[in-house]
Amino acid sequence: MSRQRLRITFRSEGPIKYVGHLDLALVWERALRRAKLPLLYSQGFHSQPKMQFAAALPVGVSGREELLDVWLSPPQAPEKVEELLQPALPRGLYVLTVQEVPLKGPATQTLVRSAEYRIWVECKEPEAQFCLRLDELLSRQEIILTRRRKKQMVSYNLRPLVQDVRFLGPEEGGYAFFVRLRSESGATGRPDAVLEAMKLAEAPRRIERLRLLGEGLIVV
Amino acid sequence: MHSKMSTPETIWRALDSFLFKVRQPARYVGGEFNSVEKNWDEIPHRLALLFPDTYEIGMSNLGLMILYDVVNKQPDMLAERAFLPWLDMETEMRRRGIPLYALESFQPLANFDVIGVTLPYEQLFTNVLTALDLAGLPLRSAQRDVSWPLVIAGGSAGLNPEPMHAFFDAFFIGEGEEGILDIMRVYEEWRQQYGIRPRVGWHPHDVRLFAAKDDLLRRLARVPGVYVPAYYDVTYFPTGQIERIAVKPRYEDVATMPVLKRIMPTLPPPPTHYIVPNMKAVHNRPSVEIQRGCTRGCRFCQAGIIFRPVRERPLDEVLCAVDEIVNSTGYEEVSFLSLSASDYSQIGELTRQVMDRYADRNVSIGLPSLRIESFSIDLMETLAKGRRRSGFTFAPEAATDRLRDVINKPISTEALLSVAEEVYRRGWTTIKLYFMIGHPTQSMEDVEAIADLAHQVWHIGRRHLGHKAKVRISVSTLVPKPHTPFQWVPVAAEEEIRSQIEYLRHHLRGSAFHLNWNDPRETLMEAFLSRGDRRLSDVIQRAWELGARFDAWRDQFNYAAWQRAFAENGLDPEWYARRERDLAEVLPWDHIHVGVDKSFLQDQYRLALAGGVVDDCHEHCFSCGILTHFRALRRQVPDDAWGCPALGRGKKRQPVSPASVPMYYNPEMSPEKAVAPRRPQRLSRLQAINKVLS
Repeated sequence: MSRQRLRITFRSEGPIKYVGHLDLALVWERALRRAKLPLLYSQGFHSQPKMQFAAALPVGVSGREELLDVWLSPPQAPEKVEELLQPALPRGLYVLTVQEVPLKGPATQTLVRSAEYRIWVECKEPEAQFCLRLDELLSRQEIILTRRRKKQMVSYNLRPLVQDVRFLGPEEGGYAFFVRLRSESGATGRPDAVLEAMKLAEAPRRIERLRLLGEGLIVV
Repeated sequence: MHSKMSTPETIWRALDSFLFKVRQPARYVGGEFNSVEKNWDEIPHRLALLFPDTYEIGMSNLGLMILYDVVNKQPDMLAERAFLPWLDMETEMRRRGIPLYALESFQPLANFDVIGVTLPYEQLFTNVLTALDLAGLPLRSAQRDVSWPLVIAGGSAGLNPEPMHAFFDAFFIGEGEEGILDIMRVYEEWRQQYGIRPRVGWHPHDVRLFAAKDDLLRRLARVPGVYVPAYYDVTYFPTGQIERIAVKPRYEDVATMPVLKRIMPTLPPPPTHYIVPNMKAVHNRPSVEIQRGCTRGCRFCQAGIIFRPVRERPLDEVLCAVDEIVNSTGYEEVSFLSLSASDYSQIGELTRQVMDRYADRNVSIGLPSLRIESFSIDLMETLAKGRRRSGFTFAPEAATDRLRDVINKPISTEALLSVAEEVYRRGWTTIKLYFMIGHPTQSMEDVEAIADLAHQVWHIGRRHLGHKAKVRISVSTLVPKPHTPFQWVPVAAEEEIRSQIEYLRHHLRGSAFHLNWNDPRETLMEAFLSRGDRRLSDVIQRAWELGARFDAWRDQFNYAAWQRAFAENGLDPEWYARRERDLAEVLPWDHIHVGVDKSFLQDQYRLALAGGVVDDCHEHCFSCGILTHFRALRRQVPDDAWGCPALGRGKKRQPVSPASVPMYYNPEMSPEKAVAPRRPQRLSRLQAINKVLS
């Protein structure tokens, strides 16, 4: 039977940002089933619907333009999918667009090059001092951090992953800033690592991923 | 931040600043599909359903979902959920002064009218105190005036309410589908009378606040199924046993003795708009209750007594419910819930029809609680669409024919082995066997038989599958529960349990076997919490103060806190757990009536000690008391709606005897009474079914 690949652009905001990536995949799977969309299932013992996210959202980070590819069989009108899907989604997930993309095109995960974030962090110090911390992200030669990988602590250099930093202004007892991080397999900067590098890892924060960048991600 | 001053906005803002740091934050934010968010300001009657364990455990509880559904269907009521935060979250909440809140509105629990606590098992008792404390409520009922919500409890662990009597204003005994609405209505009538929300504007410590509460409790005590512990007096003999439980004279007009449980004449419509958690719950699928109650009469089993009478859900209602659930939740699996699925009269038809409808829709069906017979394998194969799943679970509970006669679960070893043969022959690789140790009359021989049986099963598996065959053995220790025929039995001594487990560990080594067992100290705790009297309230509170938390979680179990709490109160946990109770003794739960008479339980206990086996009550009614106490309800429903005999002349029904009549006595136990040990009727009946089906 003929197949179809659809790219869903969605927004994730509010409490649902605290749902981890694997759980969020299940949330989407069930929503797609509730919408009665003819998902294409993998063969085998544990039959899974074929779906791919462009990039996992870290826990506690909301997303303004996230991407999810799903495969359907038989093909459906994208407008109809959008209409069926929205009421089947839990609060906090909103479909922005549904577009048909070439069936055999590369996985979105391999297309993503970088990601832009808006970060608010609580900070009582004067603006100038905070900006100094920000500037350091770009001015330092290297920023060595450690992270846990399979029970082992490995150290890595965050500096080459930080592509751009911009101060946005003071906001509710803290400051907001923009950051663009490299986001490729094996070289992904995490927004919480940026706060860690700024020695603000423990402070209350709110992070929003503005968009994912990469050629071929958004079909015009 | 005082709990009464927190608002949903301040709570959410505070949460949103640190939740990313706690483990599994999705547990604390709600927002799931099918959760019901009503407008707080427009709904006058507000109930918080509190499950005193973590979100992922509580979300697997059917009782909670039923009440949520029932109350939210009322246009003028709302029900919201609250769970206990895990320890890291509790610490953060206390540090920031965030009170326990409900997941739908983020309103503090203290702002609700009624807090209904689900108590499915006793290990949650200390968690109740954590929850009340986190909600900012005084722990004891006597300390809470009407400016606080009414705090009530229900669930099987509330059927001996006494250990927790000091903390709850009232307990609901039995099935709460209608009772919860009655309680909400009574609360409303009472509030109407006072003309205001009493909590607003009254000076704290105003005596009227307590007088008003007494008035509320009086009204509640009149609701069938409601037990108000403050209206009863318990006196003790110098030896510690209870002398008398009686209604206090000034409450004789409202409180009854005993309090009879409430039941539904037929099963109410099942919830179908299940909340779909945004994270994995422990039992990660919705269930349809196909049957309530069980006719088997296993003597250790509390559920088998307290959920009487047996009521089946009609087949078409089950099928409709599955349809609605699949459509409204998108779940990939639905499970059929009952105490003994094999006894559902149309189980074959049900599985066939369900598979016809859903086999190609990627929905699978779970069917737990199957009996040890080859028909169960047929059912499982139908459900698994011919695919082999890894495991098959049976619960023989005891390893010798003799001991299974004592517990009234008379399946023969021979039959069990032939079913095992069939399981492995058809390619399933693992058999899981559930046993209990510590049954009355158990000897070391019976324990050795567990290891022997496991080996025999494995040998069969090896013949069919070689070293792929596995046997998993789960051994728990009998905790004689209130309202069962074994309620007088002591828990086995700790050294005895330890040496028996040691024996099994030694004899079930190697990669073919996997043995699970309970820590004898956890068993002891379960025993004193479920068998205790009113004096346990002080012990529970003290243990909690000393740090007892999440007692059901092995890594959190704090035995030292319990020991010290008992010692400080001059009580002995062993006395509660391991003392054989006299048949004439007043038991702490004697004033709670689950519809089954104490004389029936005594009969069954005597028969157990003599090796007497009784029939399934579908085949023969032994007048357990249900028909005496629920006669009027029985007349309201169709003849086939209950497992109990139909009332009235000329009705087709099973034989009825005024007392327990054994089918046979085990000759090893009662040589003089031994009728030629005939096979239990129920086996031959099932074999007949199998013949027809094969």
